[in-house]
Amino acid sequence: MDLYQRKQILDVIETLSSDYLQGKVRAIRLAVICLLSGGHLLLEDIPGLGKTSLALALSGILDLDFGRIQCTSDLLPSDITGLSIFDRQKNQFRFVKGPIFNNLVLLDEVNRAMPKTQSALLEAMEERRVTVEGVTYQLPEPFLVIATQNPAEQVGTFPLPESQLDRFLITTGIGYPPPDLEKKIIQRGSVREELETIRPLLEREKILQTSRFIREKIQLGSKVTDYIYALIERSRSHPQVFSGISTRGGLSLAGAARAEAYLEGRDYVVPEDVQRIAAPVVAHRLVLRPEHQTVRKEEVFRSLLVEIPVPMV
Amino acid sequence: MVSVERILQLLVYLSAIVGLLPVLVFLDGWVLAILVLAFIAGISGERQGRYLLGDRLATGLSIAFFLFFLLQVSLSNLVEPLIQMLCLLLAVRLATEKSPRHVLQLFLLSTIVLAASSMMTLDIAYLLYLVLIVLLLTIGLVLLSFYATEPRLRFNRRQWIMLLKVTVLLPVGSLLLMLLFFVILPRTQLPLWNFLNPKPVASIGMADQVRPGSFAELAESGQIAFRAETGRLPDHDIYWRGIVLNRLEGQVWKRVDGLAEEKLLVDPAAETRVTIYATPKADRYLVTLDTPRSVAGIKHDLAADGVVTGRWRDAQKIRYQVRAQYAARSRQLGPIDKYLQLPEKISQRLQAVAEQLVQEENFREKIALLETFFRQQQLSYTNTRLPQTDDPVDTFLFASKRGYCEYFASSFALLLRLAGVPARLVGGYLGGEYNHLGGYYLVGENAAHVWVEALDDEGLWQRIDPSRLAVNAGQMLFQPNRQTLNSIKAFNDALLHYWSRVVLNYDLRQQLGTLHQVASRVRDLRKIDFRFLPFLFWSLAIFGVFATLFFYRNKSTRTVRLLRAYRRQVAKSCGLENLPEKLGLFELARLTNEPLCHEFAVIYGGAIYRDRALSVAEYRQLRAVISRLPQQRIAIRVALSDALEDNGSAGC
Repeated sequence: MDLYQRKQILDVIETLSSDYLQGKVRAIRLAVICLLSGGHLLLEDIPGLGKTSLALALSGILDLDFGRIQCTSDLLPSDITGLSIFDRQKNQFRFVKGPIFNNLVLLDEVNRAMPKTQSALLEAMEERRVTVEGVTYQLPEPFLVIATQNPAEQVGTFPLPESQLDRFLITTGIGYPPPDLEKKIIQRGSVREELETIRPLLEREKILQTSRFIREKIQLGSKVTDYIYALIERSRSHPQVFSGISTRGGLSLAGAARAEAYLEGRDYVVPEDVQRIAAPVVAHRLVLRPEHQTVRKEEVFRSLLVEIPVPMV
Repeated sequence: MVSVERILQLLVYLSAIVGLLPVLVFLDGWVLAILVLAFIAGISGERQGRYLLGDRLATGLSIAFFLFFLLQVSLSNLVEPLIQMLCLLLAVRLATEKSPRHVLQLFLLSTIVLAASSMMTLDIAYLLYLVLIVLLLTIGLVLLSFYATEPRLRFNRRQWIMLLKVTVLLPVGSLLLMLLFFVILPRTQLPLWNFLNPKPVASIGMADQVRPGSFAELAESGQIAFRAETGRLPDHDIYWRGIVLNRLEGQVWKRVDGLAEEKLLVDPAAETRVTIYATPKADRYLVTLDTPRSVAGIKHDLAADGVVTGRWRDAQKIRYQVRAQYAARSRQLGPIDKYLQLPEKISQRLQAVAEQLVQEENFREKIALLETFFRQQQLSYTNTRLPQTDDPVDTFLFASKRGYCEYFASSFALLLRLAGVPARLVGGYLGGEYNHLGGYYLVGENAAHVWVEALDDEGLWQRIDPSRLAVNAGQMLFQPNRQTLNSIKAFNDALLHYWSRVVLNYDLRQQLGTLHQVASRVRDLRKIDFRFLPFLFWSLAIFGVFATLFFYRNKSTRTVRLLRAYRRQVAKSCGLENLPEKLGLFELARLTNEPLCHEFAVIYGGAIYRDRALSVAEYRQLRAVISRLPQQRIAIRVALSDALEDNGSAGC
């Protein structure tokens, strides 16, 4: 069965992972899922593993505008959204758009920004529009934010509260490349310059159409809906969990599972799609009980996932 | 006034149903359809007094079925066609007129079909069917003798009751005789057919070598490893010893026989007696309670390090008694250098940890430091989606930090050896669910476990379980054991246990013991207060109602049956008793990498997950897939690609 544009999308993933970003096929796939289901991506890893390269390559190959924001503790909301400046010739204020007005925005070290800026940012992400001085500006479509944060550093950071984490569709790490590959990368040098010359494989309009196709044409049957519900329901009563998955979490899971099914070449979602995508989509949304803080959220979630029977009839 | 003929016909149908019930699952769809048609044709024939199937036609059909059977039969496929043929002959007779001769044939065929079912299975339900058919047959034969002399005979109510009293005596007598014969006659412990065509033996659960990461997720399949009859043991400390792995080759822990020279410190106070009932597996290691002093009831070798290897002929079940010493220690007598042997390649990071350990003074401090190190690494216990790498120990300790007992134990033991402490791995099982009703521990294959034994400064082997150092140890290792079995499951399992213990695994001494017990119970019965009886009656009635409700609720639809048939067939082809319940269709297809499984998942999932029913064509396609499955021998592989994906760092 041929799904709309699937071959081209797989081509994009294949080209990126084989030519530019070796060893990051999983992160690329997750980023594409985010893009197609209209969510945002949070990369949790130490610097220097290619988070920026990932964002650059993605924007290059998909012909998207790219904006980058380096978060610091003195970053102000207006540094992101833009601000009005006085034009002396015309004798009036003119709005200068900030870096958020791009299709693909890289928010580096998002946990370094102060809460005020964070919340302005995350609000823009959710609403897809910015209001400055009473005027509302629409953000461009498609719109994907790739935020990064470094889990190792704690000093001078403002960790994102759980309510903000809930706004990210997917949270994942990149991880070190395997030794052989890492050696090859060191020998070959950075691909940053090659990324400048990357040739777009897919137009902006096509991406929008694809994500519309996924939203409308990929079927989510009642069995799989029940399965997702069982999952979030169980997360709320799990003994180690303080507060479970929100309805937004369930919505995100359904959206991401649709995109996953699409990439797998099916026009309907199966429970295995949910299983595969569930940990990155949902694990970061769990709030554990204080006495279980040392346990990793992912483990808790996996133990919860294996308890739910897969609907088969 | 009810005619003998009516009752006889009823008995014929009932005995045919009882005979057919145990073989139904082995029959093809078309045979089932013919049987149902035959029942309908027979009953409608009696109503109208006119039969569709004349004598000539019936004989012709019987011969045709027999020829068909001859065509199908081969040395490797003998019993299933035979049973099908018997069922078809039964169907022919059901559809024809019930003359005395035919009735006799029908009784005989039903009995033979039931008997033939024992070639396929030795299920406990067989006993029930046997008792039923003996009852039906003896009453039927008595009535037949009346019927043969006077076909239009009728009895009134009083006569019926008299007749019933007399005729019931016969089967009761024959059942008692059956009990007697059971004691005397030779018997088989195996379903004959399975004995001739051995099933593929799955190797799951405890393994005879340990290489972290080479573990199929199928240990969750719910198979039973063994049952152990004993009193209640302390909850957190039940280790079932299987095998000691003393040699490390590359990443693989193996067993070298004849290495052990040690002596168990005897402490009579800590002695426990356990009787273990197990199903034999491909390897010959017998599981015992840690640490065994002696084993009886089976031919065996007991190595000095507490590993028992058994010798048995092909048997469906084995049973042996173990005298074990709880929390025992044994003294090392021979040289210790064998337990310090190391692989050639050891990663830098491991070396660094080991160097810290070497600086510690004595055994106790070394262990304490190592335990602290494990705790600091924040390792979590899990057995799903693990990364596969060349150096699993290093990856486990420093990168992924996730693993199951084999990871914990092998990295702990390797570090001990690096630090100069003799160490070895012990494989076996941990915990088990205690069945109060039957007084035994039920240990599943999913309780398979690996731990470490290290030699302390005094030359005594100490048991250390590094898996307990996982951050989620309490939840992952011990939680499942703490759950008590729910009472219906416990009752069911106890019943099965006694079936295999008393009937399949029968020996004379034990049989007499059981009889004794029954006799003394019966004597006790006299003391029972008879006011209790109405209560018993009512509870039985309520139980009956619930059982009926339950049966109807579980009445399966066509789709459920299809799915069940598919899963059973796949499990059979993999050599498993059943598939893990939580294994989805697509996941199964991916794990087996079998095109047929893919086909099934796509067709079946395409309908079910789109919220529509299977079309007739799809249903037929799926049936065809299931019927092609038996020719495949399916191996379920480790979730390799998935594990890679999950690790992220491993890339593609």
